[in-house]
Amino acid sequence: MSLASHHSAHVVGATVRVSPVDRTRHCRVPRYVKGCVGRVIDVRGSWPEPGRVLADGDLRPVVTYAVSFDAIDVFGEGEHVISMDLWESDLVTEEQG
Amino acid sequence: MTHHESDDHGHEGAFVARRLRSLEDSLVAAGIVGLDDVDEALDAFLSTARPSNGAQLIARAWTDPDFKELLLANGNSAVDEMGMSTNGPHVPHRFEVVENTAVRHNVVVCTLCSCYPMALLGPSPGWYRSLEYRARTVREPRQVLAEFGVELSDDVDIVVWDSTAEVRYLVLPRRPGDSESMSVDELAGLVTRSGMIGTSTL
Repeated sequence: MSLASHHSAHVVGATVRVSPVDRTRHCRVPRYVKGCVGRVIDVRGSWPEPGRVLADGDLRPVVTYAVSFDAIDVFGEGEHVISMDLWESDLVTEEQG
Repeated sequence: MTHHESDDHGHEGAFVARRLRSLEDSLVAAGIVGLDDVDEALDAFLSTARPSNGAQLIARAWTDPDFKELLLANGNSAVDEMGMSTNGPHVPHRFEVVENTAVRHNVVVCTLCSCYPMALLGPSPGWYRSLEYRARTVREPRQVLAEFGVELSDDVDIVVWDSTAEVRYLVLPRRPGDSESMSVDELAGLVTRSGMIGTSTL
């Protein structure tokens, strides 16, 4: 594990959208947040991304982020927050305004 | 073929258990692992993986403000300081402790499989690995918690942590109000595995 040794595209506080791409390979993105918008709450570190490891043997570390989502945005109901850790390759920057 | 004890515990994971056994049999047949290697590795891990490890972290955090600050800021360093390990089977995980407060309650789940900090909590309970817990906790945590006996008032926010990557989460429960005279060991004895997952207040 290497912390902060890889350039991170997103900063804490950034708004990000989970890629809606439905990959056919192994993927650690829960289906329920695909395409959803969340907030980066921490840069967690860099690890190999399991889908790339299994598909291509690509062991290069990829930055992961803790991202928080409001339940109302994910499920259309609920007052809670769901936080999870997502690889940078599964996120896109969400332009604000 | 293998000499493992029956794992017919009636869990939904029985299919996974059969596949895993088949994989193990294949590895043994190919000479990649010895028949006893898996047992030895599991025994070595499980002999040290127990919820009292996590409880020690909690009790120290309750009684030592500097340690609490370290635990919340850098869980891996705090665990190292206690002489414990969070290591999973391959790459070291990042360990994050999330604090319950008067206005926030945290609960941990792994919707994709059933990851959790086994080194600090011991083997995971069947309910944690159930499809029901994994599906419902992210969608209706307040109801799920109520079913576990955790009734939260409306002014308490709920945060659900889905362990989707290489971070493992532990909940720091709130210290009981009438515990000032208790020793660290006595405090550790109050902390449960469920409390550190978030399905109990303690």
